[in-house]
Amino acid sequence: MASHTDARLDAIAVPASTPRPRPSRAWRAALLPLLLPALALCAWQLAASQGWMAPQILPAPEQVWASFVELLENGDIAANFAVSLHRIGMGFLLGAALGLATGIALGVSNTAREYLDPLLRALFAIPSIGWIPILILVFGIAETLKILIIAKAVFVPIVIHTAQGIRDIPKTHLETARVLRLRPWTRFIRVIAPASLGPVFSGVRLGLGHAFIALIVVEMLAATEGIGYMMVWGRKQFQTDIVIVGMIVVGLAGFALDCALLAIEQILNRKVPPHG
Amino acid sequence: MTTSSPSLARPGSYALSLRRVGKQYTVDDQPLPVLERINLDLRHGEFLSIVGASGCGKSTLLRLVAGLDAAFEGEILIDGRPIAGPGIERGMVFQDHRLFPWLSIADNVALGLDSLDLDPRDRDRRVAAMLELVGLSAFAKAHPHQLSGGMAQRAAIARALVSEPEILLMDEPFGALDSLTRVHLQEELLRIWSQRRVTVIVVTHDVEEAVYLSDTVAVMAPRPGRVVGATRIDLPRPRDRADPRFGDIRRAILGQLRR
Amino acid sequence: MADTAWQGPLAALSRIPPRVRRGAVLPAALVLAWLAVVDTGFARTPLLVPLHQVLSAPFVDPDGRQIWTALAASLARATAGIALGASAGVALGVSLGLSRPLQRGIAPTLHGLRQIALFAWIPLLTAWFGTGEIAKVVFISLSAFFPAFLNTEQGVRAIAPAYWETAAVLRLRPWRRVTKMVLPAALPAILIGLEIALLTAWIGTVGAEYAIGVGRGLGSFLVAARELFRMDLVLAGVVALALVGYACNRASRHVFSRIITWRDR
Repeated sequence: MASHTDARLDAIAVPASTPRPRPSRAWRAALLPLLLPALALCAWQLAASQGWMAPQILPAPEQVWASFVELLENGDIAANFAVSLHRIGMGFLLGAALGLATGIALGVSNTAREYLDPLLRALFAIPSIGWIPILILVFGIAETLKILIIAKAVFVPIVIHTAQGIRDIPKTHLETARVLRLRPWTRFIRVIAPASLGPVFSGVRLGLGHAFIALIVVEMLAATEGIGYMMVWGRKQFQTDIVIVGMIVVGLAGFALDCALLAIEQILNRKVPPHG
Repeated sequence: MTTSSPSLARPGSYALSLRRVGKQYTVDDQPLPVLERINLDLRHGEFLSIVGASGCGKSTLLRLVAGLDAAFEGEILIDGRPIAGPGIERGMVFQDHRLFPWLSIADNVALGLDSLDLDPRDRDRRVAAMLELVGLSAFAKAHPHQLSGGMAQRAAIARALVSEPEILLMDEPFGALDSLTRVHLQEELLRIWSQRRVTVIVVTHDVEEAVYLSDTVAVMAPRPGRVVGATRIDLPRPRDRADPRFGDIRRAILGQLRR
Repeated sequence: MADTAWQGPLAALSRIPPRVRRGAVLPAALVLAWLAVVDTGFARTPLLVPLHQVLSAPFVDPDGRQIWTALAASLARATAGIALGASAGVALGVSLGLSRPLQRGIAPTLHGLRQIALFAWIPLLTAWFGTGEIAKVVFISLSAFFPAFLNTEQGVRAIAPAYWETAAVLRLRPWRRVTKMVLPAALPAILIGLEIALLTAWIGTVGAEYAIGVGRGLGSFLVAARELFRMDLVLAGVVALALVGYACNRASRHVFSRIITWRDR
């Protein structure tokens, strides 16, 4: 009885000053996040219906919705999505493969790190927007350009996190491997890879995030298809409703990607607990 | 020489009065009493220690008196008036000194006067006087990370006292310090108290510390937290820990704890 | 005689730590290869420009000399945008960190807007503000706003409850509480947010100029160089882009580490 009470006391060991929300407050609290968007939407509707601004600058909400539905139904969004997906997939595979290989080399071998570090740092200091004009001159605006830019965006965080993840493996694990006289391959498969899985996945997740941003940038600047291009296309035709549809699609895609990666990371964390 | 009664209630005008103070948490829709019907009366200038095992609610009680928690039953009266949140008439010292690391010691102590809107010269004078009292005048411009644990705790005491509160509340103030520093600071605390004559409540798990410092030692038992004994200590100060009477009182209180 | 001539430099070289020596190998090899293959005229394509041409273009080439005014324009624009965006971000971050209702009302919308890739704002901004300064500065402010806001808000929310309690016990008045406790306690996080904001905004500056193409700036310089097929100017511009970003990052990190002079015990 006493220990049962103790456990309950421990479980509610909150600082005395945190308030307890009452039921009606909780209901109000759930609606609060919607207040600002609702107000903005009303203001938008008002401005559009009163004609305060030209439709090229501020299209009516229903216009945006109509365009969205239209583009969805005639397959434009899906087609562009497919192109973008293909690009980001290819770019990611290329960048991740190179990134993992380089990261492993840097993590495992100190000499490799000493040779490669300055050059890599210089490369990392150049953002995607810097690579675009250089690569356009070399490759034109073909598909190769986009894949390379995305691959570079993926490469950077994966190299950094993989190398760091391997270097952060506790010395005790590596010593144990030495004492057991493990062969290099076994050491890699059984010790290094599992122990660095967490940071590596962090890098992959970051890489995919950067890949998405790079995708949008390169599609906006040097493409004729893709969800990034949609906005440029709408802008060129002075159809701001399409621009807004494009922004919404980009936002939703980014959000979906983030959620998917978070879910995968949580599954991974449950299967392979982080070392430490 | 020693008396034992479950209630400390006495008639008269008191610095602090607790009347049937209770507190409960609700866990899984069941009420879980943490404090039950605490009655306490403290006269001005009295030094009270509250001892008890972990989980008996002594820190919770102190936080209620400090005004950090407003959810309780019963009444807490300062000079006959019910409290409403933290007040400048109650100073508090925590176990971790909680000095702001980005301010100098003098600036930290000055924060104790912030709500009083004083003339800057007045404020500086009082800060200097307080630093003198706790023996940290030479460290006025130093920063907390440059001080030892004992010195930082002295600065925390200075900060709590600079506004000349009526009541000083201390939650295991020397718990984080080594035993030598603890003994030294106990003596310092008594010296400061005898010069300032504030009412002091010290929550501690160290019975010897309680007997050394206090006029009265209240013993709390857990589940639910309640006062099970109060011992009045009539030994003159400074007290000798080797004195057999000191040992008797200490053993008696330990006995109350074990019940 | 020839031996002694080499001994000086060789001795100097051997004093350089091996790590630095190895690190210099690849870059030096690249430079040498570049010089050997291109500068000597061995390879003749418009894309492989001689190294000396890239390095001298900003100084001798009439088109290349534009890079200086372009840089100045970009830096000015960046400063304006960062000042606006970062201050708005910090102010909003503190306000939202302090007030639960404000946070619940505004933060979700901001986090939702953050999901839209930054660059995607440009077409809308040019539709609203044209291709002039306003659109670019607004975009730069946006780029600086989000990192500043996110880190500040997190920093304020991460303040230890012990500090809140101490402020309550000392009865600090709201404004004093913010200046004496909240801001200093959240300062490390705020400075990290500013560091990120600086870099993001610089890249955003050149990006916006590149996308919009009109007006003076490093981005427009790159667009013009690309359209003229001048790889040497493109390389010079990209080097300038990278150098400024790197220098800003190091400088801000150095300055910020000096600000936090206290250490939590």
